[in-house]
Amino acid sequence: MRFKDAEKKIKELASAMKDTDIQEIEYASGSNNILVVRMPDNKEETAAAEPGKEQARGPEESGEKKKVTVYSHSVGIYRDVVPPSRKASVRSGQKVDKGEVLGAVESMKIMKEILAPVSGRIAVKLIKNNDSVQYGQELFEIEESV
Amino acid sequence: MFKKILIANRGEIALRIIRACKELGIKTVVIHSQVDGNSFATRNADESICVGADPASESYLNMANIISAAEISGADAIHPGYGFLAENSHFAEICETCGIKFIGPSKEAILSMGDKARAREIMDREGVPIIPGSKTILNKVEKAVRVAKKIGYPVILKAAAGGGGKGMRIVEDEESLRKGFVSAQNEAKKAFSKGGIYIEKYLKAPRHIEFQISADKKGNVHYFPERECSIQRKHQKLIEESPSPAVNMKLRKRMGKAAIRAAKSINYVTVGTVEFLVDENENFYFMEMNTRIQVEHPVSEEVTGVDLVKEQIRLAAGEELSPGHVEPYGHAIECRINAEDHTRDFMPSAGLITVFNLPGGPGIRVDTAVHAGYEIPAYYDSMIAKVISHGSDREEAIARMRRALNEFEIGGVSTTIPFHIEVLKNKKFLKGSFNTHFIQDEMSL
Repeated sequence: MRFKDAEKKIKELASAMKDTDIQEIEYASGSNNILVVRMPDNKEETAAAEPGKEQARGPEESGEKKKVTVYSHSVGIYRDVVPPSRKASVRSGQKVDKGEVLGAVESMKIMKEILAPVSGRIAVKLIKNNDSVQYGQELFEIEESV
Repeated sequence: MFKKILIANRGEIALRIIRACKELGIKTVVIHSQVDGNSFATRNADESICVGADPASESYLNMANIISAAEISGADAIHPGYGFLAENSHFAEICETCGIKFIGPSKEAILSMGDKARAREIMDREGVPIIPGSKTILNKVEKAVRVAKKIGYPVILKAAAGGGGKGMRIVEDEESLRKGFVSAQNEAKKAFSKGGIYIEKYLKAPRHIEFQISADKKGNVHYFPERECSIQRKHQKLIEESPSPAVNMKLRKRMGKAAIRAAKSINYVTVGTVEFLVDENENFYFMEMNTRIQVEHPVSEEVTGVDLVKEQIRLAAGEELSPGHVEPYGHAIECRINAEDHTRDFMPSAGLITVFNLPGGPGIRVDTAVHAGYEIPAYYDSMIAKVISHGSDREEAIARMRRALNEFEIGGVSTTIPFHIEVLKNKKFLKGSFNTHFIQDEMSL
């Protein structure tokens, strides 16, 4: 399945889950499987922010908590851990401080760090180590601490 | 041969390259800006990668992201199309350093032709005619008079430091040269704080005629039948045709051989175009060389049957030249359809295309990436389609083009179709008697 088709299908599934109490939907077609899981406290949809400059943020009031999407600002390979010594490897649910390194995009042998634009909790990690990423791709969703 | 080509362009040319790759069995990855994410080109490529925001400087000119896109997708070559990075020697060099083949000539060849003064020097050395003029900057009127006498009037005086038409002056005889030289010097001093002047022969009513060439790495070079590109406005070509109504077999051979010399002088490989200005007496002069595929390449394809984009890819991969096609088969014309209002100084007309019904029938080809429901972004050029007609002779090609332009239905934006229809009715155009001043003189535009 092409990335774009998968993305479309995920959106479709997420939209079907909206306003229901469904926690999980699995979609299977041929050799492709998509599993969409509702995150705890993730009752409202995240506002889509305009990806732009470095780690553009798109905070919008949604209930009590603000969600901020972190986008890739370059094209390359996503790395969980940023050499030489800085640990990143963040997981869903983990608390992060503003400016903390979340990971990096390796582009032409150069590591470009991805920094948390706000302090909060990683609501969703949308990328795996060694995945290729394009400009504007959503990498993380952070639930900002109030 | 390449396994996967990254296309660093958008619109109709991106689609044109995708089509060529598909026919050659090569995988494609097309880069795009955010606004172009769902374009016809991205939908037709095997893969697409977003490399930046909408302004070209952040996406289609973003060398680092484009090279990264080639690396993550495993592309072994990059096709730059035309415009954007197509004639950027630095980009060609980066590709080479990263082990990705740049589908075009060497960075040295791009550099030689990109520097106009250097290109003129090389052509002069190789015996390719250049517009006669002073070889050095002139500061004294007596020297100017001597040079003008040698090259013949009228001459044009140009500020050495100039540009944008400032300090330019056309003089018909010695008396006006003496007067004009001082004024031109003063104007140049005022505008550029340098009073140096160049003199060049002024061509009153030149035609713009260019030669497509193809070259392999063994040094074999072919020329194709010429393209007539005199119908232009502000140096922007609007209608191109092949062959030219003003070129006979003898002149074609002379000019074609000069084009080959130009290409050989810089060890050119792949496809390129040598542009000439031609006067009423069949004298021709080198203007510049475009080191890439051109917008108007389809007219050459129609009169020779050669797929120039496939040929370009093959040659870049190191293959040998396909057989040459010196004489044209029939006649082909191309009209560039822009989303512009020609009655309002060709003002761009961005917006949503509501209707887009293509013309067809015998001898009609349309190269476009536009469709109904497509929103023309304001960030890029305004060309939305190229209509190419082919006929057994010029008359038939014109008749087919007129029919096609009348069939073509585009709703939602203004287009230059009415302008093209007007040109195709013009008596001088029909007779083939025109030059680069045609739009200004005949259409009052």
